[in-house]
Amino acid sequence: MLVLIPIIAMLSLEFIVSGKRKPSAKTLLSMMGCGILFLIALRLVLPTAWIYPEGEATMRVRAQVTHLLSVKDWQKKPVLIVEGSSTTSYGINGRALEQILNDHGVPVTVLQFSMLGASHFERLFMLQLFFQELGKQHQQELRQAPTILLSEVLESYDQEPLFTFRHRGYTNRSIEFLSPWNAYLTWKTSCKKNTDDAFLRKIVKASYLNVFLGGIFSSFQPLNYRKQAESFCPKSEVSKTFNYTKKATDLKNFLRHPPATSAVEIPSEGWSLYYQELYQEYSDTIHSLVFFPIPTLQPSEIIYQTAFSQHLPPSTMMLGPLFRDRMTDQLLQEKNWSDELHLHKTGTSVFTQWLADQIIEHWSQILATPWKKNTTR
Amino acid sequence: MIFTTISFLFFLLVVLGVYWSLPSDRWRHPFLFAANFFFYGWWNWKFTSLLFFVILISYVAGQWVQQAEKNLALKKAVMMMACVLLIGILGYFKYANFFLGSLHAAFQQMGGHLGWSTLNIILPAGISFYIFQAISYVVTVYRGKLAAETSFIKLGVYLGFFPHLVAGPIIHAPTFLPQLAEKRFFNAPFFVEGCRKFALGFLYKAVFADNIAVIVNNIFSTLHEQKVLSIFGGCLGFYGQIYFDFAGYSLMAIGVANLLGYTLPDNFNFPYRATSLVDFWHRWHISLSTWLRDYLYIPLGGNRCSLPRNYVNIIVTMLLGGLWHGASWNYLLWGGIHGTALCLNHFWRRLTAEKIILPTAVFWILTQAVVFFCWIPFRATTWSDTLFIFHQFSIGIIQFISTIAKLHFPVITTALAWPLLLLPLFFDMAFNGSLVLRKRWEWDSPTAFCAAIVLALLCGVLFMHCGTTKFIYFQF
Repeated sequence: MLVLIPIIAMLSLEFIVSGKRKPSAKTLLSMMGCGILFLIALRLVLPTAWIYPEGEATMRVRAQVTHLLSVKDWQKKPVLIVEGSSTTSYGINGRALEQILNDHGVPVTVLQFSMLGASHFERLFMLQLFFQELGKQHQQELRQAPTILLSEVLESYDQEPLFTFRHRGYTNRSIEFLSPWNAYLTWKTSCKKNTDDAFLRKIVKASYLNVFLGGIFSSFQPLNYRKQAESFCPKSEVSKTFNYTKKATDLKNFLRHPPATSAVEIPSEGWSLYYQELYQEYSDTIHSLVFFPIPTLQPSEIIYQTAFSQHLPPSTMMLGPLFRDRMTDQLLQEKNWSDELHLHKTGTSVFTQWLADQIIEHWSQILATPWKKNTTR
Repeated sequence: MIFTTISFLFFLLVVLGVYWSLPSDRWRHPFLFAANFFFYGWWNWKFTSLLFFVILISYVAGQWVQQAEKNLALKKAVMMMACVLLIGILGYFKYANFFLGSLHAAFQQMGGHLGWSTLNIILPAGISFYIFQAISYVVTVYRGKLAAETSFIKLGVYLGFFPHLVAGPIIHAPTFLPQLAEKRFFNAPFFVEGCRKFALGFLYKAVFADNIAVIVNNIFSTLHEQKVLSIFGGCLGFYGQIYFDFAGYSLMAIGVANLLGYTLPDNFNFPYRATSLVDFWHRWHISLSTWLRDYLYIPLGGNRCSLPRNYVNIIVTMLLGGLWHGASWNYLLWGGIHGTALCLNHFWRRLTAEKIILPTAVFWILTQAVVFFCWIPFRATTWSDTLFIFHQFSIGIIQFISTIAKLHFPVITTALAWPLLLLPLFFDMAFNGSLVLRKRWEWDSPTAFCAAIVLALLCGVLFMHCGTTKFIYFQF
């Protein structure tokens, strides 16, 4: 029934008249000024999660907060935060990962912050929301736990942090996260490369809508109404254009004769600003930063993952590589893939198991690699 | 520049600030002239030269027509030449691809082959609107109803006036040019009224039209995967969307003109209250129907001829009106149905001459049903989509009748959800459109009046659709 509000506004414009008494432009302009100030004040005073209570990021973060707080004595065991884009969202079952790790003597609580097309900045935004929602006391407890961040390595986002934002939009989501500061960060990183006015305008527009609460009741519903709160979204359909046999054959040929990775450019600008921001804000809270390779059938992504593992940010480590020995046979089955970059739900358990094995294998090393060791970045 | 964007807001604030700071109209007119070109060039600066060229043709033609006042043949020749030139420009940019494509298809049908198919021509925004205004100016000067404008700048301000440059309303020269001769003073009530119209247009477009557009576009883009009921819902949604979209644009244009101290005539008068098609065309896109009447229907002979000829004139006018919207068979069909229905409307009036009295509701339903069905080819992307929708509807009607016969109400209940899309339209037509209700319930208070404008604008910001949709009439 939210639709009645603009209808009433529309009717009031016809039914309220100024009659013979002349309206003053000054009164109107000062009222407009007050209205604008009211919106800005509202945006400044209320936290993002209040303004966009049904925004996709907010809902996902809240689901993770609820999960964390529901775990008995969570403060007494490490917290593993898995973050990434659709590849992680489709490919990692956070609950299953938690179960496997607990069963194998690695007592952790797993939180998953993945989201379709989530850029670095949205991932940062979700972490910011998460820590805000938890409050200071729980942040302190997270520090003690400790907290480990498991971050996805995907070339598209490293080359261009706003890959999907530029190409696919996600308008509602970008309004939610593009506060003026985030807009500035986004511009600083992404507009240095491939500068174009249309993209800059997109950022400015989203940021302006963020400040003035533009479209929060778009479609007469709260923004992103009824979006999925759970980060793990197993994929049950196969892309119509996906030719598994060809892709798998190409990949197997590639794995037999992998090319040198020296030609691969690791874009320092792209990922480093995000991790610098993250480091500045949360290096006290996040104990270790661990990267993991995404499951993919694209040789170029695998080359990139290999190159990335050789140029890691300081005091971080990377799991993998993914296609090795037994894993290659297990994962390279048609039923496991939805397309060349996303797992089918049947492949999820294989990849989650692999990730769990990797964490168990490197657990002591993960705990022994604190992120904050290096202070000059 | 779209009226609902941040770039337009900044542009408008700067224009208003500078415009009212300038000491006199002597400075304001050149400033407006420049602002018009900036506004037009924002979309594609290359086409500013086209706008300039159209202004130049109109200016020169106006002067020559005036000078050849006593030589009627020359006067007519100059007017005709200017009109042919202007229509030629419109034809090249708007219809060349259509005719070449149709020719190509016809050759292929006959088994032949042409080496080319279409030219790569970009359609300049608002070309149909400013070309029609230019024709209106030249013809008005020719008819002696208006003196040729001696100032190129003033004529440029009229033809390129940015509030209505890209999507109308089409302003007739005698309505606007005399305003440029009068001195402009800042008039606070007029300014506030401009804000009210802008706020109302903003609600129409950004809140109602754009939010309905999401559902409509989704249905029309996946037409072949949709059920009959959804297609019907999509068409019903478009019935509301196109009104809110175009009436919203027109209101915003009129509002912005008011802010600059100019008056533009109303373009819509609650068309969905119309109880006949004749009435509908007095209420819908009034500036276009007036233009078609003055510069096409009347020169063709209007109704001062035999009855069959009169009907032919109506159909020809509506067919060309359809073609004005775009070069496609769908628009021709739209114009054709409207033309035929208008003839039937006239025929009915002549036949019954108020002898048969039926409830107004019957006429209203009939009129709106015709309008509704006409919007289908207007919205459908291709001719085959149009046929597909009509085919689906014919199946749907049979299903609907059998559903009623079986008293299977769940389907009927689902169908009732679609008209909810048109809730804002219902309130607009039933309450805003009723003079009686407005007189009965109006509240006279200047402060509340200002507050209502501000609240409507704020409401528009909160409820606007996030991804701005272009105005439908931008493509025309």
